[in-house]
Amino acid sequence: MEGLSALMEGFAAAVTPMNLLWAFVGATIGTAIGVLPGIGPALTIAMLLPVTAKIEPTGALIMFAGVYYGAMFGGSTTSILLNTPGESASLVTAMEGNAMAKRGQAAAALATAAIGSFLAGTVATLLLSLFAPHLVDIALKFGPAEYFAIMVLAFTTVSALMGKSVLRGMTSLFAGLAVGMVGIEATTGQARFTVGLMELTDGIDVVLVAVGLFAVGEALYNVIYERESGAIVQKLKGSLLMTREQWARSWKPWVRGTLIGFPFGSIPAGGAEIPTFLSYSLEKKLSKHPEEFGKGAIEGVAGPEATNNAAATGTLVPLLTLGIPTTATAAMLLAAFQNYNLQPGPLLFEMNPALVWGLIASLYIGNLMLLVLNLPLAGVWARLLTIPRPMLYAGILVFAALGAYTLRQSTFDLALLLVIGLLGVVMRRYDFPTAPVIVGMILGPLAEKNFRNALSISQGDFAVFLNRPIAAAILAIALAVVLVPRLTKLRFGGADD
Amino acid sequence: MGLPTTDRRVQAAIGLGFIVAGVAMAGQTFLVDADAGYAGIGPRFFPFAIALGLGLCGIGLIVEALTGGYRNLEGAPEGVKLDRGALEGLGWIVGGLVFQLLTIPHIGFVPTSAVLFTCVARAFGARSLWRSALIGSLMALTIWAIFTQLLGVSLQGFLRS
Repeated sequence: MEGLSALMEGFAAAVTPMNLLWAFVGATIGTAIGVLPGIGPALTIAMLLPVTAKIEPTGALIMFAGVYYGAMFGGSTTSILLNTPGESASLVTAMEGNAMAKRGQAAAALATAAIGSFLAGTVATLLLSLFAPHLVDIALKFGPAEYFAIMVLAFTTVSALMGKSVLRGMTSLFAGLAVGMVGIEATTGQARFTVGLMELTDGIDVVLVAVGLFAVGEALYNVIYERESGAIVQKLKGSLLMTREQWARSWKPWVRGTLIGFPFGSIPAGGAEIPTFLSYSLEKKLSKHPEEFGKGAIEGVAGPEATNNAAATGTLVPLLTLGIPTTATAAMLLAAFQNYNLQPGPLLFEMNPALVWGLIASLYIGNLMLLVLNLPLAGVWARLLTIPRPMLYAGILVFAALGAYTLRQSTFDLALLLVIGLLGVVMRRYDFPTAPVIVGMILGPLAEKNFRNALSISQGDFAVFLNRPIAAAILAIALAVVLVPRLTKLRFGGADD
Repeated sequence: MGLPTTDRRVQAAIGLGFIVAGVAMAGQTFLVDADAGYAGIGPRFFPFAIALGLGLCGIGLIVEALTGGYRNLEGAPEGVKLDRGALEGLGWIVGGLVFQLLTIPHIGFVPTSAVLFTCVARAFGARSLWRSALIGSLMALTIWAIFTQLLGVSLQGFLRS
C-alpha cells in the first residue's frame, strides 16, 4: 500500500505545531462562519485568500480545509436553532432539526448532527485516502482531450443539476466563463477583453467576484427585500448526551448517509443538495416511526447531516486528483492552490506528496477537533446567533472590502466589487445560481488551454474528442446531463415546469 | 403564473442585457490577435463560442419572459416593491462603499471601514449611530493590527504620511 505510507508521511507533516495551529484556526473560523447566517465557506476562503501571500502553502491549505469542514459543522447549529439553512444542502436539517428543537430536543439534534458529521467526515476521508492513489494512476494517463471533457462535464453538472432552471444555470455559467476570459491569455500572452482598462490586464480576480456576489450582493439583497428577519432562535434545550434510544435510531442513518454522500460528492454531480434529499427520503422509508418525520424525527437529522459531510469530503476527490472543482467552495480552494502556482492533480501527488497528504491527514485531525469544539461548546456557538443583524452585515461588509482592497490596494477593485454586488442582487432576485459563475471563471481558462492543447496534438482535427474513448464517453455523459431531463419531460408530457 | 407585467419586462430586459453582452464580446474577439498555431484555432475561438453562448442564453431568457415568465422562479416574494425603506437601505450601503473607495487612498483603511460599518448598520436599522461607529472603529483597528502586525499583510491603515 503506497497510499498508506504516503498518508503516514502526511500525518508527519500535519502534526507539526504550526500546522496543528492552522487546522485549529481554520476549524474555529469555519464553525463560527457556519453558525453565522449570511456567510459561508466560499466567501470566507475568498476573504482570507490575501493572507496566502504570507503563509506557506501547506499551512494555508490546511486552514482553508478546516474552514470548509467547520462550516459544515457550524451550519447544522444554525439550521437546527434558527431554521435558516445556510446553504441548500442543510435545507432538510433546517426542517427536521428545527422541528426537534421546537419539541425541546435541540441538544439531541445538535449531538446527532455533530457525531454523524464526525463519523461521516472521518469515513469519507478514509475513502478519499484509499481511492485517491488509484484515481491518480488513472488520471496520469489523461491527455488534454480527457481533461477538457471532464471540465465540460463539470460545467454541465454545476449549471444543469443544481438550481431550478437549466437555462438560468447555463446563463450563469457563460457569464462566469466570459469573466474568466478577461486578461492575459496563457498561450500567446496577449491581453483580451480589457476594453482599454489597464486594471483589467491581469484579469478579474475571483476574490472580487466571490466576495461581490456572496457578501455585497447578499447584504444589498437583504436590505432591499428582507430587512426584517422573522426567524426565531430556539433555546438549546435537552441533554447533549443522547439517550440509548437516540443512539440506536441514529447510527444506521449515519452509515447510510455516509455511503450516499461520498459518491455523490466525488462524481461531479453538483453538490450535496440531491444526496441529502435522497438520504432524507430513504430514512423516512426505512424508519419505524415514519409518522414523526416532519415533526422532528432524529433519523431525519442524522442521515442528511452525515450525507452532507461525506459529500463535502467527496468533492475533494475530483479537486485533488484532477484539479476539477464542482462547488463554489471547491473552486475557492482551487484558487488558493493557484495563488501558490500549484495545480492540484495527479502531478501534484507525485511532485509534492507532503503537501497533498499533509492536507488529507489534516482532515482526520480537523474532524476530531471539530467534534471537540462543537459538542461541549454548542452553547457558546449558539450565542453567536444572537448577534444583531445590523452588526453582522456591517462586519461582513468591512471584511468584504478588506478582502478586495488587500488584493493590490486598488480603488478600482473596490468599485468593481460594488458593481458585482449590484449584479448579484439582480441574480438573486431572479434566481440565477451563483456557483456556476465561480466555477466557470476558474475553470474556463483551464478548459480553453486543454482544448487548444488537444487540438494542437491532433493538428486541428476536432475528431480528437470523439476518437479517444474516455473523452468521448465523458462528453456523452455531459450531453446526457443536459438533455435527458428535458427528453423525459417531453416523453411524459410534462409542461415546462 | 401570475407575475406582474413589470416584473416580466425586467426579465426580458435581463435577457436583452445578455444578448448585448454576447454581441459586445463577439465584437471584441476580433480585436484579439489570431495566431492559430498548430491547433488550427487561436485565442479567438473559445471566447467567440462563449459570446455565442451568452447570446443564446439571452434569447432563451427573453422567450421565457414573454411566454409566462422565467420558469420555476423562487426569487423574492411576489409583490415586494422597492419601497422607501428599501431604497434608503440601499443608499446607505452603496454610499458607505462609495465613500470608502473614494477616500481610502487618502485617509486609509481604519477610518473608512469605521464609516462603512456605521452606514451598513444604519441600513439594517441599528438604533444608535455612535454605538455602531464605536464598534466599527474597534473592529477596523483589530483587523488592521492582526493583518499588518501579525500576518505582515500591507494595509495602509491611516492617513498617508
